[in-house]
Amino acid sequence: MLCRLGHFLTAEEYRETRLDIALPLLAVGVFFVGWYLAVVLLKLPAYLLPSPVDVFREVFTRWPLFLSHGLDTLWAVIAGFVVSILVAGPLAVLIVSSRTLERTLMPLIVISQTVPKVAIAPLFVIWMGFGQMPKISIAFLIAFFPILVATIGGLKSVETELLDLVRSMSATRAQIVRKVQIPAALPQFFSGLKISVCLAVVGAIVGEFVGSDKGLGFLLLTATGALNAKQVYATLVILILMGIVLYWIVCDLEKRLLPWHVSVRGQELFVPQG
Amino acid sequence: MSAAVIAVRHLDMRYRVPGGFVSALEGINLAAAAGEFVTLVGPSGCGKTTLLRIVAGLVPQTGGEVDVNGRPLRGPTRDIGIVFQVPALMAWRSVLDNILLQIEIRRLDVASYRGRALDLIKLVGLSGFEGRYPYQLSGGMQQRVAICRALIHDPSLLLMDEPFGALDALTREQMNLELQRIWLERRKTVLFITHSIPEAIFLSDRVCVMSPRPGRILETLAVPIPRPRTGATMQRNEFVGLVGRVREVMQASGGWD
Repeated sequence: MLCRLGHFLTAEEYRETRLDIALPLLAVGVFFVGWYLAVVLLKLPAYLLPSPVDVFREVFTRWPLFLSHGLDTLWAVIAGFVVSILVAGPLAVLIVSSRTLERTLMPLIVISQTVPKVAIAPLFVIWMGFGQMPKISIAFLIAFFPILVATIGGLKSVETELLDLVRSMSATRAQIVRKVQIPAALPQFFSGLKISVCLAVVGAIVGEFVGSDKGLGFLLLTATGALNAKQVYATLVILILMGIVLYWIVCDLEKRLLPWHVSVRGQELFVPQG
Repeated sequence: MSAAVIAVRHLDMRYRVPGGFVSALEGINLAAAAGEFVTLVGPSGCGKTTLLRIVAGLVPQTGGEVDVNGRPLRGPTRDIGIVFQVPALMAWRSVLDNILLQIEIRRLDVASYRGRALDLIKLVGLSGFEGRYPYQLSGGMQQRVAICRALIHDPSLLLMDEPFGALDALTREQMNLELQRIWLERRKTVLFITHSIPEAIFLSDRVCVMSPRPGRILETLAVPIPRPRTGATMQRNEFVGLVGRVREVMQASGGWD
């Protein structure tokens, strides 16, 4: 289902693509410059807010440490995220296909969401022991709800006339789900993905706070305990970068899969005749 | 005399509401022979769309009989094509793939229908647009794609529910001419719905005038004007007379809108 617009970019589109990269980089750059200026001009002590220069130096000199812990967290984030997609997707289709299932399952799901994950994280450690499993479970638990809700919304939002049309062609339920509802739901599915990928990072970190001796969350905890501000901020920077890169990957995937959707292509002025 | 493609006898459609029933359609008798262009014209809310959905097999009637191609209707039939007021195209598919949807759903061999799809695209004047996506087309163009989609499997019956209602007046006139041209080339039986009286007279062999709710057929007028009809045809006495007659009937029943 990879669709491509299949035409060379116009001058305007080319400029827009460059801005897509340049402006975010500029914004981030301004942020770091502002950070640096704040530290220098306000003469903030290092234990409150270290200079970004020091933080980056920390990252570069101790990069093996950050790499190994970072990969640990990354693995948990990705695993939790992927599992949440694999569960939320089919579950959404199931819920939309049956009012009974919707009325029985949704309340249970909502209840599972209202429980604060931070509170039950220790429980997960007790059940699953130290290590990756509690992290992945919490990441999954937080990440799957936005995908579920968004996908359900998308599946339900098919034009009545289109449904009437395929019914008039004597389409089976399976055909309607596969050929009409699922493609129609993709834009909202991706909205859910974008939210969830960030939440998966949060979930993995929460899991690490509670029950791990590896990972960026663990680093954060020990650094905070040791009042090592540089390491705290360095870890935060890595975490932020991880979140940004993952989010950007989802956005890029969306651009490739859904070039036809208005949220991806933007409002253009079209000029067809007739 | 060819057998009736559509035969509707004493059709009733009632909906249950708190406290009783409301009648959408009452005692409809309607027939369309093969290759005939029949239009239902009536005010908003008179049940025209309900009638069309019943004939399409999308909703069962509460009373009376509907036969399509000589057989009682028991659900969507394979032999119809439908065009609604909105094109209802799939935004994620190209023009060609939208048209071929009919073929895919009916589990026929898609490759063998490609040629026919391209012919239809040419017929409606959209050559070169087969790879475009709906967002790249204007409303009129999208409706033309919807018409291709309704014709690709060569149904004997075409149901059209105010297909040009969402278009501007100029495009609408153009589309009327286009539809006539397409129909003259591929004679289908057409059941057409509109609330534009001139459009009804222009396109049809017979016009059925409906009353406001509960919808009944007040009168059926034959339109013996020869084809192809043009913009000039609409100035002729015959045409104007027929439009006047339909207005009279509608006004008498209080359906003037």
